[in-house]
Amino acid sequence: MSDRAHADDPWSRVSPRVLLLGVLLLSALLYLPTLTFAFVYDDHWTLLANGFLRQPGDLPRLLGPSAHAAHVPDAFRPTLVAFDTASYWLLGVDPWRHHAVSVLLHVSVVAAMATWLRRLGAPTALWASSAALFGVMAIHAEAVAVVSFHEDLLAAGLGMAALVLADGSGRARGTGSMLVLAAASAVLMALAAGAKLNAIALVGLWVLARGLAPWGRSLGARDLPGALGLLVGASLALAHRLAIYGGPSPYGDDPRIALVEHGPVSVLARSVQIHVGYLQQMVLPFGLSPEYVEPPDAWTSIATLVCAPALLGLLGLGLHAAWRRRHPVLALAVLGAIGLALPTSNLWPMPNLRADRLMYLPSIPVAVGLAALLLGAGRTWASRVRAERADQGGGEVRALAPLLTMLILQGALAQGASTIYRSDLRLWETALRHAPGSARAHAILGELYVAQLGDAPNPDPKPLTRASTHCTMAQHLAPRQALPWLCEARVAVAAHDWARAYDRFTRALELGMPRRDRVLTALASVVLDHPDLPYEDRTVRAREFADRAIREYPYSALAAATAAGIHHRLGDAAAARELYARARKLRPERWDLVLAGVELELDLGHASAARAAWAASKDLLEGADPTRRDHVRRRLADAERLAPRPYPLDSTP
Amino acid sequence: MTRKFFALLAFVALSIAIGGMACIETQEEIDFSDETDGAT
Repeated sequence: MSDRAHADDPWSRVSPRVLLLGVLLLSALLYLPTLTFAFVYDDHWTLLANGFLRQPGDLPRLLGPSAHAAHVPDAFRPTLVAFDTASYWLLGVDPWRHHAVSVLLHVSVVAAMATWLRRLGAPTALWASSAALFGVMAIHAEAVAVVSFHEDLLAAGLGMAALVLADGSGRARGTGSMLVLAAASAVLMALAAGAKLNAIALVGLWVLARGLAPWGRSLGARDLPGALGLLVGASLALAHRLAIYGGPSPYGDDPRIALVEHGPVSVLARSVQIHVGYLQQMVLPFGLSPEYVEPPDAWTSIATLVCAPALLGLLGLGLHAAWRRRHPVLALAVLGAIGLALPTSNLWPMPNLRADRLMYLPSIPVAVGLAALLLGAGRTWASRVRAERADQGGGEVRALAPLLTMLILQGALAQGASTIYRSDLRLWETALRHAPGSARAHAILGELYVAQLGDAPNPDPKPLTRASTHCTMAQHLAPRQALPWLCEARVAVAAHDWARAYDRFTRALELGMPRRDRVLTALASVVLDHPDLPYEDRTVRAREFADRAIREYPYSALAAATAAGIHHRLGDAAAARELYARARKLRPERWDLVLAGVELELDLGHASAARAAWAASKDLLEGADPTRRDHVRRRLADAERLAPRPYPLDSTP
Repeated sequence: MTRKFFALLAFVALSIAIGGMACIETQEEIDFSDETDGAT
């Protein structure tokens, strides 16, 4: 784009602040409906059931290996866990507040991106349209609509802010300011990589942007402190990860991970196809899904033979454009996207080979390239029409028409895609429709149907059969995965078939169930009712499973609550009381723990202690299940009526 | 120019909202009676 074109750009006459405000408003409005969404996906175990967030005093444990050893969810992302802890204490557990935080984070990333481009010298129309396009890209729907995926937003926001500060350091007038800004960029980069390690690739984006200097700000000696700041920040986060996990991936040599199970050759053959799919979804956002089935493939398959040269061609195009700065914007878009996609390109073990959210960061340079392309196409069209018709009217809108069309297409599809994440049931139903071969989707859907049945003594056989069918299909698709067995075990529990439930839970545990606290606590509960085991054996095993769960998962409210219930049932009053208190600390929102604690005191004949426990959590019990609450209330009233009152002192004979 | 910009923004937002409604998948929350009756 020439300087003349910049000067002719009518949008440069609008105040940059107004432009930025408009872009941010658009990005926020797009995701406003997500405020009505529930918690879904990983939100349940990373936010709701994560007892670590309720223990802010234990946050320093994230800096060492102990948090990981204690199975703290996402312990390998200390910034994220610290952010979630702060969010929990400030906002509680109302879903809409956390969704609002996600939207604000996304808007902040858009703002940081716009600021970075502007300070690099990008023309007004380009930085504004790039930011607008990034703000509405449909591939971001998953990252913004699911609260627990805000690690991508956090990493991008902090990382982009670090780039802005590093740039600012090079332009600072005094040495003091230069060093302060460089140090601040180091801190922000370390925090960004602490939220998600792929943010370290942003250092490469910074070097690329400054090296290519598409808008005139090339690297100079004054940029050294900023560059060092970014490098130090990224190195600190990487060193922390390596020191604790011995490698960049926390999944190490987990045999359930595709890269470990099938090896890099076949996984990378599939990864090549996945990345061509990502590219299509970023440019034309069709086929977005909450679940993908991506089995490893051969390098000789037709899909790989088509996709590998396509990716290599793209890399070649990027390098050609970068050579002697022929087309610096194109080079920035292509090489930047490839560089930012590298950390999640399955070169290292990852639990999901493919997910829309993984493209949040790489879509930054893609948005710049796409915006430049659309603006260029619009200008060409407008100038041709002007030359043909010799008129001046409508030129501004015509020049923007391709960009506006893309904004509307991306935005509409983003809004449509985000509604998938409204509730768990909708999410997994949709996942199954998009990926009918997904064992995980079948198994989770089966579990969701069982969960809907509640604790009914005589469950409706129709939904139970439906759940059972999904479990069977999941087992057929992935017999060596644990989730399908967990699904079948849940069905057996709903059907009160304790022996089968025990067998299936045991199978799930043997197959390497992630988050084992779920299985250990379930085993502790069902073994007590196992009809084929002697009573003594059942009680010993139940205690063992429960104790193992709280030992291995000290921050699991589920483990503490189940262990409390087991000890309560077996008559270990002191242990039960202590564990109920522990579970309440880890999950203060659970009213059922209060009622269980009240019942424990009633079982012990301590009506006054039961009344005190009730009174201490009166507000929480307002939201309890009315049937359960009234049952305990009646028990409490009976105990107080029947319990012998102490004689008044003055009536003592 | 600022007015024109906000008018354009309002047009884009409205178009996105209309397009979004059209894109929203019509699949409703699970309806037990629907599928089980059909299956049995």
